[in-house]
Amino acid sequence: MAVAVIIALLVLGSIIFHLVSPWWQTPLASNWGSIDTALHVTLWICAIAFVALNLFLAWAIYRYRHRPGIVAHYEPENARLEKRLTLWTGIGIAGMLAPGLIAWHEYVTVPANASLVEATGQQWQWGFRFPGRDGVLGAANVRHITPENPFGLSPRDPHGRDDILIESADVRLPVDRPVKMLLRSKDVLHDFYVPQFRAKMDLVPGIVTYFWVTPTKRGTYEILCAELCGTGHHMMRGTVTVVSGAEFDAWLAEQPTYTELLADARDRATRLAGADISAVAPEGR
Amino acid sequence: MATVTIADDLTPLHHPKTWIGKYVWSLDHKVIAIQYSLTAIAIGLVALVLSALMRLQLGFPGTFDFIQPEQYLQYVTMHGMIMVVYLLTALLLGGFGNYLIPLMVGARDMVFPFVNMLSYWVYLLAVLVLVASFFVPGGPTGGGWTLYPPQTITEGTPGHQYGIVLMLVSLALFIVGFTMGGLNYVTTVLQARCKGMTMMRMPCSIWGIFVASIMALLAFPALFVAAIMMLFDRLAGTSFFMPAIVSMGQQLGHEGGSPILFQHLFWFFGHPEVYIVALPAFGIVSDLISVHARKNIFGYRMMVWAIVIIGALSFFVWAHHMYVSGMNPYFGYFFATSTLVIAIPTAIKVYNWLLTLWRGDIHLRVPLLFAIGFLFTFIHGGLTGLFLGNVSVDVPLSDTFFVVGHFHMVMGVSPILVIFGAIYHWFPLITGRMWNVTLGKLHFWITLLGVYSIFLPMHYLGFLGVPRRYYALGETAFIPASAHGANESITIAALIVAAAQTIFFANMIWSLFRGPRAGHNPWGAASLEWQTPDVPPAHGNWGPRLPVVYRWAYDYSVPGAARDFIPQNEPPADGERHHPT
Amino acid sequence: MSVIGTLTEKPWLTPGIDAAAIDRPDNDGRPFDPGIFLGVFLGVVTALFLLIASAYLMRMGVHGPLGHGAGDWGAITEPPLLWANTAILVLSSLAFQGAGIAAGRGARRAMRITLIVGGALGIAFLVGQVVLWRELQASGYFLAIHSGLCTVSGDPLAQPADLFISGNPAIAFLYLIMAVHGLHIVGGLVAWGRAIRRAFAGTVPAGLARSVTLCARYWHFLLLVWLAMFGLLLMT
Repeated sequence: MAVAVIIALLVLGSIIFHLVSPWWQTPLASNWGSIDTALHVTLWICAIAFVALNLFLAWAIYRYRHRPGIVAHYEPENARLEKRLTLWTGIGIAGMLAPGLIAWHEYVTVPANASLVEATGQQWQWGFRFPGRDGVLGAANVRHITPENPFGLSPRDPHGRDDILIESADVRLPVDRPVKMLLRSKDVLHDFYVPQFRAKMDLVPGIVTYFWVTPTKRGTYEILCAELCGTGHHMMRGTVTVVSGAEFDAWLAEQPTYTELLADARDRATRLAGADISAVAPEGR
Repeated sequence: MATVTIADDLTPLHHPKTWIGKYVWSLDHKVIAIQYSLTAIAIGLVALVLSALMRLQLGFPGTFDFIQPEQYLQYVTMHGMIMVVYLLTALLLGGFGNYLIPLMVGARDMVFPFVNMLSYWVYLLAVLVLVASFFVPGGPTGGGWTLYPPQTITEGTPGHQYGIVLMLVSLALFIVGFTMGGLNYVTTVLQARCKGMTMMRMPCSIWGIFVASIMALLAFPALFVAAIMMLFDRLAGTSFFMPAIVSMGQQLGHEGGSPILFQHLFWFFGHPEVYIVALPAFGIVSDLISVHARKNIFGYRMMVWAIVIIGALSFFVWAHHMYVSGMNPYFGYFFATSTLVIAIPTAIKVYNWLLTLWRGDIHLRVPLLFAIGFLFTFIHGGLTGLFLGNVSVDVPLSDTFFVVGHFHMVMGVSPILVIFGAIYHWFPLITGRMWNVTLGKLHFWITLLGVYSIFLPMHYLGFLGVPRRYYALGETAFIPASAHGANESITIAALIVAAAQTIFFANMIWSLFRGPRAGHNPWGAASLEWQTPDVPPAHGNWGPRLPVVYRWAYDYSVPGAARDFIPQNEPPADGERHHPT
Repeated sequence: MSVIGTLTEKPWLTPGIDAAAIDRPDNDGRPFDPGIFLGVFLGVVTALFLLIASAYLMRMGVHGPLGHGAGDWGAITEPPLLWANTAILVLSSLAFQGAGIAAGRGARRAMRITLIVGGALGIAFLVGQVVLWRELQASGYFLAIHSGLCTVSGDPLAQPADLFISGNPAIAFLYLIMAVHGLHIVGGLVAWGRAIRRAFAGTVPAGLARSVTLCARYWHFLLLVWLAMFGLLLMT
């Protein structure tokens, strides 16, 4: 008896909780409205099923509770009823799967005009790389990583010379331009996650992964790591600031290229170790 | 067919004379079941304490100095691994499987009792190795229960030196032990059913345990291979999973390995594992509902088919754990579809449980309360699973608290509620005593309401985007202060629920000695395990003669019958239809 | 009855038990046939090796689709001893088959001899594998390059330091497969030991023929697994 009432109250409570909860998706700041749509469709279908099934449960418990003289109905199965329920479930499932797959199709189809940005992860910080004027990111490999070459750019690849390297965790992106984020990890798994963008993807050492996004709202958003990466996992933060195209271009022009950083490093080494520049020659290994 | 005599066959039953022979080196499936259960519950309590510690940190960050990020990650990892493998799998298959299979199919014991005993001792050894990892330098592994390389074996993760090695060894041992048991469960169901016990006369519990055992036998090798290969990587320096990396500024010697290969192997085990836990729970809850609603399980054939279909399909959905793992993104279409298809047989099971209650004669006893609690939490957890299976919806939600809330509802709370219900249900058979009903109800209500207030808010933190496995949320602009408040209240609820489990144990111990005598078949159940000549059943279960089964396990409230149930071993009355031969 | 037939039965319609079944003796006093147990176990082992094989294939081509060639997969030339060992295992399996046939006909002497020969060849196979292992080591095919260093430093748990070359994964897989397969052979030898003990017991124990047949079946299975794994190595 009490259990029927409480199950019904739990359903009611869940609905109220949903309505008054201060915790809901952050305001969308990218093109991924389709993901939100798929989520909302799924939520609605599931909510209807949740309410209907549990209210039926509560009603059945109340209506058929044991009383003297009551005998249970004998009915081993009801194929027609079960078929009908299967059909309706199938329709519900298809109804949520369709928008889900449509959004996924968009997610894996990178537009041709997307510009490249590379995010690199290591325990526990972010770094970024933009292609230079040639629009191509130079080859890179962890085997080339040295203190002077933290991105592991191949010293032999001319495309890498003009790459713009951001050694801080703060990056800027232009508003309303599609961006293909290439993700590369130097050590363990990480995950590039900006809640307001909805999109995320793991960084996997050994391969380059990617996702794409078009930021649609100016502002500063936090980057979190969403794949456990060791004791500093919770502190692996960064920010992405979405600015107008012009501001972005100006900002990017101020950032150092690989060649400039190399020259800097050489200067430093020259100052520190006399004339012995071979010690920092970017030969990798 | 040639006959065989082997050392551990059943004839004659060797009745042990000494206490040690009876309770320690026992060949009796019932004693082995209890050994399995008590060990699993003991290690499960460790995991419960770990979860409380972890919640203390999340609810009140910075208050407890002894919880540093290292410890926090170790709590998270060990809590998850213990609960999933060493508690749920061991308890549902090793515990309930062992106890129920021979009794429900009408056998005197497992087919190979010696192998069965060995299975328990290897399991115990696995648990001891696991416990040992708490005491080695560096402590247990803190790489998350998924043990993803490279981080589990590189610097920056607690326990990367010794803890992970012991973890992998322990898992390998567990798998060896389980394989011995699992072979027994499958063979016993296939070979040792008593006369008249056709496959379709078996109760749903046996179907669930049977299919889950087959799945486990096929899925655990994936974890075994993964564990061995990771041990090679860790100890011998091979590069199965380890690509070239720079760990803490130092180039490691590995080259070319694939972390994603590990993830495929892990989830090829890991997803069936979810159903290895769920299917026995599905089966058991079907029987609880049927007995206490005095009605046959609605659509028995559908229920059996659903178990078989779910078992088979669950080997084709593993990569839904990896939508954002960097695997080939085109896999997403296939795995999203297969995952949502598996929801259909699962939904049918839910409908049939509800339809079993419908037009029943519902006795709201404690086991049924837990079954109802299961229905509520499973409906909730099952539906949130659709979000995560629906590929693009998973993108914003993966690795957030939504996932934590989902899997705790669906494979933490739900099976645990079934386990409680099952213990309340079969305790009179196991011990011959009844529980205290008031304490049982108190335990139920605190547990159900408590877990819902723990896990419902977590889903909303997940919608917000709060990531999981964070030692502390810190200052994060999109996380409002109220979310920290939510964490506090979740922690308080978790502590209350954890503390409330003492009611259960107190009740169990009290009932063991002081509970009223249960007598024969106190619930009026039709299935065979309640029809033993002795309560509790003696060694050999059936007295001088094996039972003969004349009907299915669900003859409740049959029109025209004298009582509202007909035991499976009761011969048909004259008016009943006979087998068409 | 077929599986479909069993699963579509409506159990509530037909209480009772048919006349033929009621006369059949029940399980009491009837020992169980370990054949099903073995069959299910072979299924588990099949799953294990299939997974190793798919891991092998995936590791081989892992970087292909993403255009990030690692190129660390070096083809290996199969050492001649690998062929010799395979031949020994084939002979061993044949001997077991002979033992099974002899046991079925009640020819005890022939069964004893073939059983001993089969087991001895099994042991020879294991020895051959160990020799092969050492040969590989000697010719520089280490499991991984730093395995040598780990032993030198005396601490097997020490992380290898400052090393940039790793072992060829094809070799690592060869070692892995040999080790896992070898363990299964050892398990088979335990069962063989039991069969030998009983074959030489004073009286013929009931079911000896069955144990020998099952031993032979397990042996054939391990041969098949080995051939499949060997084939995989040859192909790639």
